Amino acid sequence: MDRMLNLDGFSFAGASLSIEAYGDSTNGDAPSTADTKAKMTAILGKRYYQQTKLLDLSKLGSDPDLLSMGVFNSTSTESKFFPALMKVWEMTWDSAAKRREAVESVSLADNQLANISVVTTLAQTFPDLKNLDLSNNNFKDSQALLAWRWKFRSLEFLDLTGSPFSADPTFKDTMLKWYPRLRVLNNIEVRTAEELAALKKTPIPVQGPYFQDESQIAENFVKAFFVGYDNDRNDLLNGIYDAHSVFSLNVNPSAPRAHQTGTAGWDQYIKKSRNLLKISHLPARMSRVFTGVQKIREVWDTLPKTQHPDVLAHPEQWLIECHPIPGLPDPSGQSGTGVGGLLIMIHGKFDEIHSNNQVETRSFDRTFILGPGGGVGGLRVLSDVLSLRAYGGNEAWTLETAAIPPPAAAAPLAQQQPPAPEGYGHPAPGKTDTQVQQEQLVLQMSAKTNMTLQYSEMALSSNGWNVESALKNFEELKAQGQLPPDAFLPVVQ
Amino acid sequence: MADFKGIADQFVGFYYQTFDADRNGLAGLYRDHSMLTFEDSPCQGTAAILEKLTSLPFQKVVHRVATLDAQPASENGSILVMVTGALMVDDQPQPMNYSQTFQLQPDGQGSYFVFNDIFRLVYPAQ
Repeated sequence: MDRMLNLDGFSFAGASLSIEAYGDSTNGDAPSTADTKAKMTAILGKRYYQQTKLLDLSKLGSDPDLLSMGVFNSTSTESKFFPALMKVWEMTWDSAAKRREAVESVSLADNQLANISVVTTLAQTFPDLKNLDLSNNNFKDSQALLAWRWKFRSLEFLDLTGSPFSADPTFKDTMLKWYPRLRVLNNIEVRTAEELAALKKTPIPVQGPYFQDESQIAENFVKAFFVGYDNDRNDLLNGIYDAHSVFSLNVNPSAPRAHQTGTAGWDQYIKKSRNLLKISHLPARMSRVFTGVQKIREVWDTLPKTQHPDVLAHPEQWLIECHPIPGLPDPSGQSGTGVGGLLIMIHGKFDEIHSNNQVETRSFDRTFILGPGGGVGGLRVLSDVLSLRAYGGNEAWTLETAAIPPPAAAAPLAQQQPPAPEGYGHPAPGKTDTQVQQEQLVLQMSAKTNMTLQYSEMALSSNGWNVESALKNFEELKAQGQLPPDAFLPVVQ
Repeated sequence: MADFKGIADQFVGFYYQTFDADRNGLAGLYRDHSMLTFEDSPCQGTAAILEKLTSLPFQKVVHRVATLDAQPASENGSILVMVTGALMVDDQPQPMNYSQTFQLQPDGQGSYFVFNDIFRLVYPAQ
């Protein structure tokens, strides 16, 4: 108690704290929650500038409305005030997306903060903040800001002028290290646009998806699969899985998470996770692979309810690739060399919906092998491998060259196919695997260059079937005007 | 049925160890009808695949495999292998996360080769 009383006279946000022994105070009736909420909403309304997406929380200590609420009259109200204000702000918005959109800049200037402990929840409410003004506070060193070391990953502008920390020789380097997108620090440019662009570039160039479908089978499968998985797993199982279908899942708990997503555990998955790196015991390995509709149903029934984003409405949140593959077992037993199928790889995210209506967003990578069978559309799922990880966003497959029009990058399902004879690029009796894959390359070359299949094949075969060199060679020849008009497909109006 | 899990284990260990030490050493894993898709630049055949792998724009690379799962992919003994993990290139401190799917096929002489190899970055470096 004595120690608490020693705090009397300290200040928060420019207002003196008055700490009195309990019982001495003449507090009247405590204000109702609804009343407090209404007052906070009004204060936020006055301090929010919609046009500039700015929430100005500077000089809170001299705000007459806050003073009249008695926010700074006791430590307990003072410590609860800022988190409550953030909570009220969050409740103002009916969706997390709108909330994120609404604010790009926050000012906490002139609040005499010695550290961020009382305002730390700002990072939870505004994880995507671009501009943060912390000028005229009293931060002595990086320790005072440490709780925000891994927050605000999109921060571009930071103002800490007027704090002793700004004079520290390590100040600039520390802030550059903490915030990878920081451009302006204390009103001085610390990274140029070029430097930022260079930082963003990955050493491995990101390219669009490879999607080689057969009569829209993969396209229709993907569209229907996740709707079915979200709404009626049983129906989906009966429709396209059979006694030989194999399903397994694994959890990658070490993948990084994007933004400030929650930290829900993997309890509901981990006992089924078949990560062969971690599980070397044969019986455990075998018990974590599920063969046949009945076994798969049992495991799917134990997994949380999910909601995947609509493939067509949100193509940017998905990356879907498809390769035709030969040599699958023929369910009719007629072909000794096997039948063709599709290898489909899907990367995306989903919301997990728990019984208490709590929602957890996760990312996943899922690989399927589809083949002909007795299910819906003459299909069956042979293999289904699901890998789960913390939500990581979809930045990884956003193309670096933003100049490419979105349809090609964002809508893999709508990729145009050049006209080709039926069965071209697909396995068939008497066709070798090499031939099938070469035909697929020809189709791809043709789609990229608009050349006929014949010329595309010539271009590839003279470049050792390397698409990159063939494309380079094509550009050179085209620039030199060496390609005859009949090398190209007729223009469709 | 062959021990597809053991084969997947061995394969993945060998593949990344060789990839990180000397990419040229991967030649023996591919055949002339093997196909590699590395961020959508498909190449077919050992020579084209090797050229692609060795021309990737980094010198040092370290893979850290986080998950590995495998299923038999067909009755002729081929194996579907799915890996997720992180890779660090040159002196970039931040790992990039990837997902890689392989289809391994028996070569008829008691060994396996890579028929499909599909690589994707799923989370960027920051």
